[in-house]
Amino acid sequence: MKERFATNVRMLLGWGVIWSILTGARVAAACSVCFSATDAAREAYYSTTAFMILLPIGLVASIGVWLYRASRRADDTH
Amino acid sequence: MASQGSAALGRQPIVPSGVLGMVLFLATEAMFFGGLISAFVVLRAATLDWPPLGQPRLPIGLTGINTAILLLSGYAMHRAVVCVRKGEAHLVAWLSGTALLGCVFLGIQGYEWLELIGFGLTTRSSLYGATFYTLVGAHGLHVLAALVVLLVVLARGIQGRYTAAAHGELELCRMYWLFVVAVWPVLYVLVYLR
Repeated sequence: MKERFATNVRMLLGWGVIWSILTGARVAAACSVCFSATDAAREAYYSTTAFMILLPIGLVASIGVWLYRASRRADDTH
Repeated sequence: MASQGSAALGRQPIVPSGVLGMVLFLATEAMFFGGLISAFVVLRAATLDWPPLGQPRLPIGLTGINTAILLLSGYAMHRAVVCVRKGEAHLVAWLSGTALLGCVFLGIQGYEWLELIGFGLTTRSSLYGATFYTLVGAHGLHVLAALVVLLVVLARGIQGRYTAAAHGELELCRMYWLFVVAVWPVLYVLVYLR
């Protein structure tokens, strides 16, 4: 009896999640730059997206190069 | 942890743990400001009138002087570290100068904010005001945090705790201060000059 109740609750929760995704999808599908149709806004959106993609990669790469060089220097002095 | 591991292997750590921690922290800070700047650029590009009609213009001249003051504080901080590395005197003088210039920067910015609020530029008046106070305010809070750390380091410097061989805290403080100084000209150009 308890197991059946737990299964029903899980199914109810599952259907609730599916329902919320289906009904909320319209908000998720909204275009992030639809508040402005200007070319400048679109260019700014693409350039800042590229910037935010490249920034962490650049930071991690810079730290990696810095540690590598520090390691080489330490090896040379030993 | 890293230094313990290196010590167990009989080697010195290639980079002090504190410095590595600060570098990683500054990387997260760079991401933080990168996100804010990106949001500002997109919102600004999407707005036809910038600054909007009826909103006050930002004081470019006064903030330009303030930028020079902050850059000067970065130089003073650098000189303080050079002094202690070479075992020279004047560490406390350079650190005091840095703290003073940082206080002046925050004071001028506070005055500027009061004036702008008086002219009707608030976080709710427009997107222009919201982005301005978010970007400049986030930086101002960072300067304030750096100033608190700097005052702690200055107090320890007065006690004579730093020597040419042991001044790790001072190096970390310098890294953070120089980061805060380096971010400001970018914000100045983006928010005030463009």
